[in-house]
Amino acid sequence: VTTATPKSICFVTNELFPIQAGGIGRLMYNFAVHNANLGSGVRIWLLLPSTFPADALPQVEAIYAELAVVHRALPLVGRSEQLAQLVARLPQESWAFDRAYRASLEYYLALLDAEQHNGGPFDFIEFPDYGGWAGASVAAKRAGLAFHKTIIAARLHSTLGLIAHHERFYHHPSSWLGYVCDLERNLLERADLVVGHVPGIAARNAEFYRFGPEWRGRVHIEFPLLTRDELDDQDIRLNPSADGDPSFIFSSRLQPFKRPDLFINAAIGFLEATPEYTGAFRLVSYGWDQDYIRYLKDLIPPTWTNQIIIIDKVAAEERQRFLRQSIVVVPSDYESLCLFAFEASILGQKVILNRRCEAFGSFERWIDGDNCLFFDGSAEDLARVMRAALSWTPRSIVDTRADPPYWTLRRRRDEHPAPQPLPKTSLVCYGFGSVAELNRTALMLRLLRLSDIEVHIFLANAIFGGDTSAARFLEANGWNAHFLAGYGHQPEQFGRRLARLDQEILVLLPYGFQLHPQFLAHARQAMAQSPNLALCSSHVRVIDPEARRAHGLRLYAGDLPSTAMLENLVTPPVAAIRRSVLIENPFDDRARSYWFEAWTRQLALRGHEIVIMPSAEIDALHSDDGIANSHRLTGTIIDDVGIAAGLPARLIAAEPKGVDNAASRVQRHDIANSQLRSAIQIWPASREIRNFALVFYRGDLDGLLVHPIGGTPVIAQIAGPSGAIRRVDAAVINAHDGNRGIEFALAVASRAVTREGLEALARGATLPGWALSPWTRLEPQHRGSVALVCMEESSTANSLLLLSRVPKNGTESCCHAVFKDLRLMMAPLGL
Amino acid sequence: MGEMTTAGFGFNEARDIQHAHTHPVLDRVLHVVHAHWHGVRSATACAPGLKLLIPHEEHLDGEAMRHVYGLITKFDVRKIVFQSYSDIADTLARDMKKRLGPDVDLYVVTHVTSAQFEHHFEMRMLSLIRNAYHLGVFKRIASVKPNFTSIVPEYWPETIINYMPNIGLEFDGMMFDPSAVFVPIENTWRKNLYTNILAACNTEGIERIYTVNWPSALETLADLSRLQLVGYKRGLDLLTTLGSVSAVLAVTLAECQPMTQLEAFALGTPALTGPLGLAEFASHELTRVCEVPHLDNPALISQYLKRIIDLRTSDPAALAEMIADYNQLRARLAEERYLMLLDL
Repeated sequence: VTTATPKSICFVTNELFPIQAGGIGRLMYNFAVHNANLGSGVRIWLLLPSTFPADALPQVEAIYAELAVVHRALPLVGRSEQLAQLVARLPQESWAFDRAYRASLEYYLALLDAEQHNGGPFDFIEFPDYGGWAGASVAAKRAGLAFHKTIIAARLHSTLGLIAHHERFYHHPSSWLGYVCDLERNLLERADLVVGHVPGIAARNAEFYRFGPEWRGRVHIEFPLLTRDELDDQDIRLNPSADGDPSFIFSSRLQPFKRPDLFINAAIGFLEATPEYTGAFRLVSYGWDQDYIRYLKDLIPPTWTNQIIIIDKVAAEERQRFLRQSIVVVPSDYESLCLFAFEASILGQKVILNRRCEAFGSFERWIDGDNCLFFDGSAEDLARVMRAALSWTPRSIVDTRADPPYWTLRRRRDEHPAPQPLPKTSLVCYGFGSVAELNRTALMLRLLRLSDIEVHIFLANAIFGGDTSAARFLEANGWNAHFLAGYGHQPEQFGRRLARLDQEILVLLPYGFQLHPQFLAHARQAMAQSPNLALCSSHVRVIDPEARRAHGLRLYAGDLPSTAMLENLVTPPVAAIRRSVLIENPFDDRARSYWFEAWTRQLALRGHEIVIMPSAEIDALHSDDGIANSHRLTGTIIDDVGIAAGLPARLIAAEPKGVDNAASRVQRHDIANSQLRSAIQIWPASREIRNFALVFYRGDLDGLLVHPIGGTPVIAQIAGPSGAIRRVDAAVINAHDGNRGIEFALAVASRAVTREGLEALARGATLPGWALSPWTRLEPQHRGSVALVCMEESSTANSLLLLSRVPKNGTESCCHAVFKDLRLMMAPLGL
Repeated sequence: MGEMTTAGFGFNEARDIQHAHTHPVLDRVLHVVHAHWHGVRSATACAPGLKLLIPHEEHLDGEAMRHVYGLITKFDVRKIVFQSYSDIADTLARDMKKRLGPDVDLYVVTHVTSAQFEHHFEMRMLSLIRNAYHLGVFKRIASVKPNFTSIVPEYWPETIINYMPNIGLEFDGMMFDPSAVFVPIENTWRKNLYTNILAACNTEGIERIYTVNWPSALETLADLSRLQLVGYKRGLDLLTTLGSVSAVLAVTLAECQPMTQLEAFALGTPALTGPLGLAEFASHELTRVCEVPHLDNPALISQYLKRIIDLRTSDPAALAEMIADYNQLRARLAEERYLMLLDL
């Protein structure tokens, strides 16, 4: 076994001392100082996000000049990579998956830049455990796209997942919270090395996230160097208030898991028991949630507002002065280390800690009665311990000896597995509705120049059966033809046929998508490198069919379990699949058009490994509003989770959030002005009724004029889109001041437009398959709208009918009835 | 790849160059075409040269104009062809002549027939072109419609021949549905949709009729159950649809050199039209089998359709050779005429 001394490490952080006040920024500084003190020779990189204030950089660079290389990430919008460009163009205010993923993509691309500047791969990249910032980098490593020789480390600070668990009844549930919790867990699960400060916290993470002994084997515990630069500048002598009773101080952030409420309630208990006590109970800190701070203030009865004081805006020196003269209370339910408690002890102060917090109660450096006092986690006990602290004197200060950091240790040189041969792979194309679609795919396949990949094309008998030319065509191209029964809408049959293909990897490619040339190579390489990988895919570009440019992006999440529970984001319909997984997990006909999404979501929830490469190597050829979902699908999957967990409660009782995206409900279809030009007069049947045209396009108003005549409505017809029209809205104008009002209506015919149907409409009646809106009356020169709610549907031949008529007591002269801006709402396909 | 310019301008967008022919000299010609006039844009997309897409509604701002001159300088353009005309084209052409002077020659190629003059716009544009020609803005004005001098005497007497798309080898040997036809025409009087649909409906062996427009009310007379409305298609979707059917039906009342036909030919699919009056192709066998002499006669169109489909089934090689020969002739003539027009 050979060993090697590391040469470089890159820390990913958004906080850096002295620009930000938090403990993590301090830790970063301490790491760099520790590294320099040890003379390790390891080059430290600090990777900052693009949002790090640019004007602070010169100061940072000066302070770290001898300590580290500071690298600020380029913002995605300023990068040339296609994926970065497309992500940057997504709406900024989105709370969709991109909101959680963006930062990880920025860090991933910046790490590649930093690697270049470093002149080679880093030995280590260390991510914090919170924020989900490692998502793209971990995926890249798992897929073999980057960081082959780099150890990805995760440092246990505090995940939002754990904090949210401790901050019970506080967090508003959201899919965004799910994404972040999933991404955090994903890093901890996949990191090569997990670094903790306190053994009990590592155990807490293992228990909470249900990681087994293999994970515990990857954990390295080390105590970081605590520098005292900031403290050294100050007068560190204890300075208890000269007269009166001692004060207590809470100086953590005003945030639920720090438990300022315990401090306040203990103070109330203390003062109610001894009203004559004159010492103060100060909360000297800040918080983000004004509603929570208001709740804290409301806990304090007016009697004690002079002694229980929340001071949320205070200068650093003032805070130090309060700290020095007070007994320090840290009631947090959860901490991963708490630099603040250590600093207080170093200064010789009395420190009261929550025993239930593992970073205190389970850490051997904290000794009850010796260097601190523990309370049992309740306000009553805290009040008791506060009183005890008055007569207690610390016998020692807490042990803060630092361990040598892991990046300075010689380590066994990891053996990088020899590149595996690419697995035998089949490309499976299906879902063709016409010869044209088959030809379109054929073009793409030829351009992909597949040399060592078998191509299998599945055709539906109902479309291609009874004609041998399709089979001959595929054979002539060296592709294998398979025929599926009916329209091919039997996923179980399809799955069984796929399972019989004698190849290890199957790449599914339904019609409507195309692959970039490198996709197959990347996906196969990923599957070869990671034998446990069940599925692999990439994000999807949405191509404008006319301009053939990418105008949108669909991001996918891979094996993130909360996300899989709620959304169809596991993989796009194009994915490389390990055949053995398909054999063990069949498709399900009952999921109907969502069979693939149901299958991938169940795989992710069962713990199968699924990676989305941080790239966009798939194109969707036909744009729509996004990734559809359904309450029935999601409700069933959530219910499965409950049943698998053995709950007596049925989760199908809860209506799922997070599925109410536009695509899952309706698709909007606008009929633009130019399409209105194609309208024709269809009723009355004769065009020779007046000496002017009744139906024509009014270019000046960008709308269609449908001039009513006395005695009968006038009806214009335009072809509607295919599918289930649910609602039609139109803007209407009475465009002339010389009439006595006009009435407008809309109708849809989902069958052939027949004379009988038109006669019925003219009478105000509808035949089966027809729908007519209420009539809307507009006075001269008025604008309004007409709406038709419609439950009829047709796959091919919807017609939209625009009707106008002369109202009772009206006259037909100057009845300039104009329809414009038709908006159709189409029901989604599927469940 | 194309580069986008400001104010609705486009330059060498993918669809304007990917199926273009190439030529060492003609490649340096700049074609100016309206982005939203699809037929003319399709014709221009097949020609060799640089493609500048202009809007036909909003006028140009100074930045856009400077960008255009930048492109002209960058690519050392000496010949500029306006493909069809608009008020914006007129402004641009006059400004170009003023700034570029005798170093750069300007031309117009129009794609209009007198049958379209019910749209008075067309006549107004021809009048603008003629005025500009007399002012010396244009060196020559030419048309893809034969004998256009009988309408505007100042026109160049030769006919410009449209290129068909330069289709890559990957399109070879596409599969087609022998019982499907495609009717890619608008529902207007000139385009004769009803007659074409009736012809397709009455042709034995046709099971699927793909149409981009619905022949409204025709169901009162005919069984339209084999009709499938597919809507307008562009780019690859259009090409693959054209290449996937047995024949294309576009027997319209008046045309110049319809691009749908040339696109179909480029893919090896026969396409029926009315008589186009192009002397250059009059004697070609493909013209004889694809040009239907009487236009409002569904039975005759049906007869032609049946004949061409039968030929495609019985002797596919002969038909393929006929189309390939026609395409070669067209490419050669298109190149010759442009070289002649531009004095190159």
